[in-house]
Amino acid sequence: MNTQQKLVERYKQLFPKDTFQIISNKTNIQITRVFRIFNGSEMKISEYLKFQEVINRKLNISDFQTLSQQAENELSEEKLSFIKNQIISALKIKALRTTNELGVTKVYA
Amino acid sequence: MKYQITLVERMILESLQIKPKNLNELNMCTKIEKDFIRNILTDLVSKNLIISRENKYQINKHLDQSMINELFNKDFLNVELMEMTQFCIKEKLYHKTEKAFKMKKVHMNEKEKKIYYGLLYNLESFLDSLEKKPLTTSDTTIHFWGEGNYGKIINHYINA
Repeated sequence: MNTQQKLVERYKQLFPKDTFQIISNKTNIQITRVFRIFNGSEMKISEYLKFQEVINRKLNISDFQTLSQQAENELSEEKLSFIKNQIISALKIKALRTTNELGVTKVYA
Repeated sequence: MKYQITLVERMILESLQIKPKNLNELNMCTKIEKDFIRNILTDLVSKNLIISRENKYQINKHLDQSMINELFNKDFLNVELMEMTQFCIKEKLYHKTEKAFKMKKVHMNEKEKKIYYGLLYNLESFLDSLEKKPLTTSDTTIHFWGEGNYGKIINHYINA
């Protein structure tokens, strides 16, 4: 899955009930263009950034990025290490739940 | 990057510690969905933590010391234990599951401390006497207890 597909999938995951009209309103991208993007047409960088912005807003990513930056500058090594290990653990579980990058060769059932 | 083992991987390892198993048996024992177990097995095999023999998976009994150290890395254990207790705390706070987590702030005199540690000793003896190898890992219940000086906890909280 390429970066654009991942972004579109993430959008669908976060806004499963959005119609093309709603997506168009949220992103300021023409509805026909939204339709094409959702059917695999390649995005322009500006379109990609608009989708990214809507997703970030939903996830409060900007807050998270600001906080993590502030934490990096101000918290002790011990606190940072603890937070980092929690993130690593959550990401690892997420990765194991989906696909394994190493690929499954043979599993005895 | 060091190998950070997760709760779910540890559960698979604990299940294999009882006896070697295949995918279906692991699914029965842990109640974790098969696709998830499949990915975990691939990961654990690649890390040489488990090996496959006679169509089953088993713990690699010849782990090198560095891997053993990583399995018991204190920083990673800290996260594992926190995630485990966090579930119980959430059950108590959000779902009102009374047994999930209990905490009391008390002050005890020396006599009361002696009574408390006596009761604790009995509790620990009872738990230690139980069968340690359950047939179904997912049916195991987690019990935790401990104590901490309020002042020290707050002091660590503000200075860490």
